[in-house]
Amino acid sequence: MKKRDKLKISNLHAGTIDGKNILQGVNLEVGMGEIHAVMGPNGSGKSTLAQVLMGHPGYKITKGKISLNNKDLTKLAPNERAKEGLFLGFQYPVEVAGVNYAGFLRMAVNERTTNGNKISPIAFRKDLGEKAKKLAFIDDISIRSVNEGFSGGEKKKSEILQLSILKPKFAVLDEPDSGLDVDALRYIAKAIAKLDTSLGLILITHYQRILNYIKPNYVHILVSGKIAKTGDVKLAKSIEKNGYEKYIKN
Amino acid sequence: MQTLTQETAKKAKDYKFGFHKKDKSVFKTPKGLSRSVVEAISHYKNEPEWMRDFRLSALMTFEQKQMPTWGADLSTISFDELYYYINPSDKKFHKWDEVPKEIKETYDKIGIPEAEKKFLAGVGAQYDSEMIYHNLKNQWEKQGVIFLGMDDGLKKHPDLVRQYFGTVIPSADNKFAALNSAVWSGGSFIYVPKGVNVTIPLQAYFRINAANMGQFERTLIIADEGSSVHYVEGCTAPIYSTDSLHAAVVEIVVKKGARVRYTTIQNWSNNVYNLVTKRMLVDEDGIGEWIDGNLGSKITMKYPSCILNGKGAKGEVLSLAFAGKGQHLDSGGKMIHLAPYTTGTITSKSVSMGTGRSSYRGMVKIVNGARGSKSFVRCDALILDELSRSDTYPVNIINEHDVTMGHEASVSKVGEDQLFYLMSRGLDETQATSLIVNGFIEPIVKELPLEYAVELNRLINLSMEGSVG
Amino acid sequence: MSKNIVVKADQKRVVPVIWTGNESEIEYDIKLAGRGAEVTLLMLLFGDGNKNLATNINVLHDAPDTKSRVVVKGALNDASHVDFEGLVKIEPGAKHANAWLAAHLLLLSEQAGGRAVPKLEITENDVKAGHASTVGKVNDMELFYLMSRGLSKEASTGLIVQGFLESLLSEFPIKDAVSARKKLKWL
Repeated sequence: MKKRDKLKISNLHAGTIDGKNILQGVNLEVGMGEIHAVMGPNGSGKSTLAQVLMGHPGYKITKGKISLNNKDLTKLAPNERAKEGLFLGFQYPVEVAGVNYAGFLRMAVNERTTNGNKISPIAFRKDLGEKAKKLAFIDDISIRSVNEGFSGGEKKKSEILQLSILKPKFAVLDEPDSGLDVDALRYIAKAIAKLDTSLGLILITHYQRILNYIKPNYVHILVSGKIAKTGDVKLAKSIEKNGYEKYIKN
Repeated sequence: MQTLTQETAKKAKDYKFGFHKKDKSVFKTPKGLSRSVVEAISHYKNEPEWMRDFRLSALMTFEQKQMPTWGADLSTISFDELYYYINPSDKKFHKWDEVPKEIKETYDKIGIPEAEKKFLAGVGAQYDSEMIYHNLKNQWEKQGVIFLGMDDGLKKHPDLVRQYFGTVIPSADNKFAALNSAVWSGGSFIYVPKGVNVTIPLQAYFRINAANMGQFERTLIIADEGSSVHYVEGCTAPIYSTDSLHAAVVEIVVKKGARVRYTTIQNWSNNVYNLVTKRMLVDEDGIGEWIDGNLGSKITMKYPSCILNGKGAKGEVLSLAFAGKGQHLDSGGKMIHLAPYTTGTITSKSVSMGTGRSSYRGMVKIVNGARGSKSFVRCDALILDELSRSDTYPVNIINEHDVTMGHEASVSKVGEDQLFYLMSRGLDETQATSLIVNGFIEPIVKELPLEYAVELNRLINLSMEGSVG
Repeated sequence: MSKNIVVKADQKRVVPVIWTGNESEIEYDIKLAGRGAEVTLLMLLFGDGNKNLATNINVLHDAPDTKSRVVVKGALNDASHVDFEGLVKIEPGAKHANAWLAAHLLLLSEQAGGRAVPKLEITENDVKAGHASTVGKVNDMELFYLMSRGLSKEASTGLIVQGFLESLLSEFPIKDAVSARKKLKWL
């Protein structure tokens, strides 16, 4: 990984496949080790941005592009984007019935090994078990099905767990704090803070509170599918005090 | 039927025949069905030649077709014993004494006024709805809406009728559609022009008179692009009919972006065989909705269908069946998905009691190429006692992989816990059961015009008394 | 293949069935003949190529306190077709009968198809009966989620299909599960 690696979002326009326009020209550049918070009122397109970056089948890009280290991701399938080093922490992690958590994650890890050294199931389970413990998972996650029967907090932790195992270059976390109580929030926040410092992070959040634990380098306000203002932590604090009204024009 | 009730009470003394006939001679075809009977009907009605030919060809189809081998028991229908046509104004009314006691009692208990009772029981002449009808008629005419009896529709708009008649339900569709096609009379003809939204529901009531509650009604509705209309027919109060066979056909064309809702509440007396073929052809982005309430008749076989023929077309069937003593109600719905991104929903609620048998019969068919389509069927049945029966016969044929199809059904009796809970609040078993049954059918009842909903609830409460405890 | 099974009073039978294309017809006629009789029929289908199956499962509740549960899960690839007809019949007197019939088909390719007719005939009111049926392709969101972790579309589909059938396999008696897994290529 080079110090100058960047995730570049250029003039991104996107909407649903049945024609509703949501993103109206988003420009954003994330460097390695940087933390960008993206905030905005409901309906601003925050989740859409996250999902479009990863290639969600329900949306299509109408203009602009996404590139990671100068590799154009715009037309790539989700798995190809993942292999280039992008990760999405879902706001609503999907349950996949009957698919073993450890089995699937090990497959994902092995997809990335370039030198033919696949990790063995035993070694993998050990690593998974240790990392899960650090995230305070009570039950043995390796025997469960993907997100099936997980509580709200466990689903969010599961995303961070996968992130720590897959080790991407850039990660987009879509409201990792939504639906969590204060304690769970602190856990997630600590876990995120402990991630590799070279990770480039886009942290999507509606409320300011997670930013008490994770200090962003930049704060962007997304309104009506476009970035209305960029600032630093002070901007987030002013949102907490005054809401988004100032930035919602017309 | 609240409008009827109010207006009737006022005009109770003022009877008038609603229709004017130029030719007052008595006309009734001889018993049985034959070529000459069909020709006589067409001749008497002064129909264009193409319609006469259509009838004759349908007669041949009727004679060749087999009776259905599934569904209710139709073996006691004797086609040779029926009269297939009688001029409405000549139809004899029966005497009040001839009307079955249960029907008279029901009228009393659900509060039908005197004049209306006689009308519904086929004892009295047409009551005067002219006033209301005329006011509404002016509005429709201004918008270009055509709302006539089918006979009149054929006379005044022959080309329009010819364009669509028999296109949604061809005579060969089934034996009873063929029968109707041969001897049809009465029913409604509706055309709604492009972009016109008819805000007040069109009530079939205005178009018929008591004696003409057709055996072989034929309805044709055409909603042109972007238009919308709601048509309501039937009555919650029991209708006493001496005609034992009712074989109606309803064809509806829903053009691009148009919306049609067709609401029926049927409560024929328990001597009637009610065999109806109803279908909507729904074009691109069109919406077709059937609200089908089956309360009466000895046997009903009816499966309102939607053919989703254009991209984005939507269809919905809400079906309610209440099978009581000696009844067999075999009903449900059909959704045929022929185009991509079409959505079909069928919801059926049935209640069986006192030896009644209620059967849900439905079909969902999604052809190869209808990708992105969605289909949901939900049928729930309540069996109230040990004497009754409930069946479910759903057919799902899916030949396109990029779809979502789900089907759920449940059958049970009234929940003991629910009963206990309500009774613990002071209600007796009958009241509690009524509440639960009404709650069970509520998702469908809430789609009915208010006056129907109110009478339906009363009717159900009435049915509960004497059957519970 | 046609089988008749009579379950006597207080007997509990589990009937595992697996089809990977060898037969073209499978029929089961099951009678719950004594009080407390129970049957669980688990049918796993995997079809590819031009393999077609017509299957008929009939369950008759003819005694009080009987229970039946029929679960059919199938994944169909290529031009494979399944025609499923199920009938649960509850006779008068079969009080407290509890019947459940579920048929779920996953269509993996454009030419695969199915017909599902789950029927109920209930003549006893003090019962609980239900059925459910779904037909469709692999869920888009599940596919997206696994692919977003770097797995190819084929690998993701394989995992999802495996997971879909696995929940049924996990109920098979161990001996049958072992031989079933041998028949299914990826396990």
